[in-house]
Amino acid sequence: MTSRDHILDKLRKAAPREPGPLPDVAADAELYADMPVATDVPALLAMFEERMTELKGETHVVPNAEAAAKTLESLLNGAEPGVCQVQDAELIDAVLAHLPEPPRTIQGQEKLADPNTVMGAVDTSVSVVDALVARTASLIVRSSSCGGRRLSVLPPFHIVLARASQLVPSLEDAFEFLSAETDAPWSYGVVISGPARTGDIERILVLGAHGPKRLAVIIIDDTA
Amino acid sequence: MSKELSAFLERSSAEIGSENRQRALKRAITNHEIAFHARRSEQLVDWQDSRRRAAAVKDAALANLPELLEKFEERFSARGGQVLWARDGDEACNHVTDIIGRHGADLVVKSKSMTAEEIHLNEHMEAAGITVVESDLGELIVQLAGEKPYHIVMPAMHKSKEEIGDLFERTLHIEHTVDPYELTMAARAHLRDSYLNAKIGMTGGNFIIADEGAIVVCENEGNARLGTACPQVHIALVGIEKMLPRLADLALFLPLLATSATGQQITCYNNIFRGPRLPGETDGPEEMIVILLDNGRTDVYAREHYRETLRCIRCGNCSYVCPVYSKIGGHAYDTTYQGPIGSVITPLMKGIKSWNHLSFASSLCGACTDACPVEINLHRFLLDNRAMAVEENVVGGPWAMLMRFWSHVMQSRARVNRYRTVFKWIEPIMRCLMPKDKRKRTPRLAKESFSQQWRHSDD
Repeated sequence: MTSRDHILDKLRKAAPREPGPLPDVAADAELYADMPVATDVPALLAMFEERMTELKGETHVVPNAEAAAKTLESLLNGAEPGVCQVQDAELIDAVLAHLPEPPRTIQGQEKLADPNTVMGAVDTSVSVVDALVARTASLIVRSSSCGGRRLSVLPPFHIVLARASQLVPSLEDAFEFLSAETDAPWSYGVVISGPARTGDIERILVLGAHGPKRLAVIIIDDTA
Repeated sequence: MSKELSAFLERSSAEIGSENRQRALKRAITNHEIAFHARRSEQLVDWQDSRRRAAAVKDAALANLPELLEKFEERFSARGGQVLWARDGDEACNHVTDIIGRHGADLVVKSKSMTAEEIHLNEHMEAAGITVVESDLGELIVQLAGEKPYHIVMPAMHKSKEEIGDLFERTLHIEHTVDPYELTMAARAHLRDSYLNAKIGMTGGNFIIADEGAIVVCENEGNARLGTACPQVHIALVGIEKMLPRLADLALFLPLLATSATGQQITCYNNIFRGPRLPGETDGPEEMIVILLDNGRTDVYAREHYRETLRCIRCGNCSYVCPVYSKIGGHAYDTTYQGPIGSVITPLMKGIKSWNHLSFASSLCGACTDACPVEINLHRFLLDNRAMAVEENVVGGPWAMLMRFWSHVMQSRARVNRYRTVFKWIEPIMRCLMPKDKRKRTPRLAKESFSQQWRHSDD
């Protein structure tokens, strides 16, 4: 008997005959005291910004792609010199169009398949996200739509370009979104809440443990 | 006295007697309690309601476990993932070394997995000539120190920054520092090459999601992300009881786990692994293998009364609130799972004969039961384990005899009175025979019993 059969057999012998229905998934509004007060964009933006600041990440809310480009430029100028890696995405292209002379080398999509050692030399990455969660200041990222798995974790500085319309109130919305059918099948997704951190040494918070030390989210408020 | 019990007593004394350890425990526990209570009231409308719901979801997952495991296997495999089943630790270890051998690799970068500790995977891999790199900072610290984890969530809880500074200077050959930031950066630099060059990455799993066909790994550092984004192969080892039925259940479990484990609103990275790289994706492992581990879980499952203990989401909150753990620390238990949950499941999984003493080493205060985010009635199970130990006659000889005698005396008022007199006579002899302990004095028997004093009080 295979181990699979052995295990399933033992479980079946002991499992209840009529297991009954699964309990309903509780709505986040019932569970969480720190929900956003309203679901309009200004309220969600305010909460996202507040929570992201607590997590030691940065939020930059801008009115349009041109302003986003200016912010991106100043972030790149202010950071360690080096290579910036981006993914091909409509939003990123729209913003980069306003930067004919970027402050440093920006590598495109074709480099995303580079071996680890090459990707490992990248200092800054710019990617899009699939959704933003206000209550937990989370980014919803999937491998198929956000430039792969390494882009948002290898480089020490991760910059995100997003639209305010991508904001959802809480995790329940995010998981509903993730469960939905999609044209772009994905092998990996992640809920990111802040720059990388550890408390393993005397519970003292240290950022940049292995993932990005710095996380900056530029949100184009296209709803105003 | 079993060798496990005498080792436990010896080790406990050493931990209690160590000022350094007591200081480290107090600091870690106080900080956690403050963070946990603050976060719980900030984040949750009603802790009791959340844990009740979580318990109900876990019970439903357990009730439907065979079907959910099959559903997971089907959906995960449909996307190119491989599922292997392991009856016991040895089988799981062999699966791992087989996979590594097949790829001609000799290096594994590994993120934190208590399940891997449980089956002594590192030792097995090292015996096969494979270098294991622990990438979680806490696990790296204990690996470099040649020690076992001190707590299931904070493995290096017992180490001060001074001790870590010395350790890193010695083992990583860096300039001496006690600055946590510099120490963390040293670990980051040390591990960087392993991420970039390792062929094989290993993780555990916090949850199995049946409807999605996915494994969820919760972490703060990004080491699990790096260890699965860069290597060619991802092996995930996960106990079968980690099941959740739906992806949507994570909206309750991720914040609940983070609150209970570290006092966070949510862990920094919650990874959802649905399989190997798909056509059209730019990177990711070519192979992803999930090893579903039994190793005694089906035995616990079969005991309907104890099935509830399989709800555990390994948050470690019970250890923090336990008055015993807070004094003896994690190493004294000499088991993978320490604290109250460990004291409940270790006798069930590793044998009541050698491990029942863990269930006896408790005041049954119930703080663990209150702290558990999935409402496991921990102190009740400690009591049940004691009953089981007595029934199976594995409680030490002198203790069993003493308890039989006590129960004989206590069942009759007349006997209590008669034996009180006997005790007064033999008390001085007992005092000579009892082991001396500098830290406390055994009180003397009163001259008169309470009922005698009561009778006199009317005079």
